Amino acid sequence: MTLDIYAEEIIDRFRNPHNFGAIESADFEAEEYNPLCGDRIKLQIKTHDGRLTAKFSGHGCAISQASADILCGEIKNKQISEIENLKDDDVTKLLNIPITGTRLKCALLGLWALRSALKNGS
Amino acid sequence: MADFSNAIKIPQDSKEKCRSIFLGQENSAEFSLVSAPSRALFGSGIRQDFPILKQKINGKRLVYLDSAATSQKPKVMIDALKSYYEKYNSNIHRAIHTLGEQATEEYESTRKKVAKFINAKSEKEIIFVRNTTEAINLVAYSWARNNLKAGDEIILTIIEHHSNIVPWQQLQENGIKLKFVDVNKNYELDLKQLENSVTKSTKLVSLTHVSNVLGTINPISEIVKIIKEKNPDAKILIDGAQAVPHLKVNVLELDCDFYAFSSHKMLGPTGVGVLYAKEELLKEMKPFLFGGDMIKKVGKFETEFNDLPWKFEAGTPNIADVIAFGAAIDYLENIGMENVHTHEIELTKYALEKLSEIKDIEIYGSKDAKQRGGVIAFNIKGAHPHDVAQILDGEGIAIRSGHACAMPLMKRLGVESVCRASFYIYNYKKDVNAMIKGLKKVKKVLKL
Ligand SMILES: Cc1ncc(COP(=O)(O)O)c(C=O)c1O
Repeated sequence: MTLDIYAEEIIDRFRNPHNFGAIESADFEAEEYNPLCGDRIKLQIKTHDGRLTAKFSGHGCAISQASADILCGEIKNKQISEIENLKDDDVTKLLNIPITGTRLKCALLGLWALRSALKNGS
Repeated sequence: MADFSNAIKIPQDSKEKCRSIFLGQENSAEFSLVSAPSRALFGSGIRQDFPILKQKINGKRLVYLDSAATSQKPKVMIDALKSYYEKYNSNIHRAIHTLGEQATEEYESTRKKVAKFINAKSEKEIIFVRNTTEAINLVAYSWARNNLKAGDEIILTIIEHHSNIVPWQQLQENGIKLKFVDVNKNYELDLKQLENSVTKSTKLVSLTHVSNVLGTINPISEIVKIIKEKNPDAKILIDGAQAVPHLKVNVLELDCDFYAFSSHKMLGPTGVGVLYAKEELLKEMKPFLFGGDMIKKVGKFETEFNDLPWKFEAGTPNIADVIAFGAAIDYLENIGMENVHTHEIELTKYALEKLSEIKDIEIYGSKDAKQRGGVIAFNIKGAHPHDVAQILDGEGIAIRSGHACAMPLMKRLGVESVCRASFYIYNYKKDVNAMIKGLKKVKKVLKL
């Protein structure tokens, strides 16, 4: 059933993301781009007393945008040590929809941005 | 169920007979926009010849609208492939035995069919390669690298497929300059700009016959005249990947120097492409690849190359697929390319009408179906092409989504990607209706 991929939660997050926007003077940030579809996600992270907040910006398909939004939600109030080893599987589990080969890149674009951000610093 | 693969063996003048076979197989209202002669041939009748179309995708009837990427294959072509491997598989040109002789004859007979199909002067002008991309590379390596020098110019257009851009970019390292011709607001090539771009330094103009995104059919004869008038020595390469499958192409009339296309987009197998070039050019050109088959006589330190066209076909060629490509050409010849084109104009016209009724849709390309091939690129506001394609796939509908291998054109259009529906002989009004219904579902799912 391909359509399950467009679960209510995914569409709602796509239409009204909770964590879309920019962070001024972020501690970590990075942008990832998928040339295949032109999707772009910039992820920014700030630490307050060791706890994180995250926001994303950019554009793309429902899956990449919803996934980035959910990922930002997941990062919130965590410590770096808790998120620096997030695996692909962790993100697809969070999404809780069936992701097939070609769409995996969309679903993981936010995670790639997170990994680059932690590597880059600000 | 009637098998159209037999019906296509009926000579042209018996098409009346075919019509009676196919009419009434489906609700004839589905054909109401298709004129009487093509009604008999296109859509549901022809679908019978394509085994893949009998399949269900996600439980739904397969609606294949991605023929611009690659076409589906008729059973006669698949049978020709099978027959070669089962009955006369052997290497060509050298064998003195029955199988080898038959294989050579069939292989060379496809070359004759291709020459006739595009009206080349001689089959010596037909070189088999792997695809359009390789045909263009052959010209870049064998002709351009040996004939162009620093300061020379190559003119391309903004609507080219990557395969007609990237090979030329590589020549920039030798100081060769690239220029791009733009489109006007109707998405047609700016012929004035083209004319102004041609100078004494212009050595090559390489452009597509039909755009794989906008569908625009470029007026090649007129363009060739414009170029040759300003610089008679400039050579002209036409990328015919989206033209030969859909229109009657006459290279002699077009008067271009090179013409490239792919079998897989015209009912034939993958792995076969054609480079047509004027004989006098091919004679002067150096071989592209070296080795067996392209030789006449080999010494320890020197080689005498083979005659045309074999000079350009090194090593054992794609025998099976070339032979099967011949069957695909026969199939198209039996239908008649004028009929193919008429059918596509009618379907495109219908699709353009229906699509324009959708709110918040942007259609790229001319609104006049007569000016374009059966390719329609569009975007629905708020819907990413990948999401559109995926939701349509759930309905059994295959369209393309993405940059369509034309990133410079995407940039020119100001988009990252597009949805693209493309039609061929086996599509009919019912497929367009399915897509329209599917697009309504897209809007519902994405809450647009
Ligand atoms: C206009 C155009 N040129 C060239 C090509 C490349 O064809 P091939 O991949 O068979 O080399 C395509 C195929 O998509 C095309 O549409």
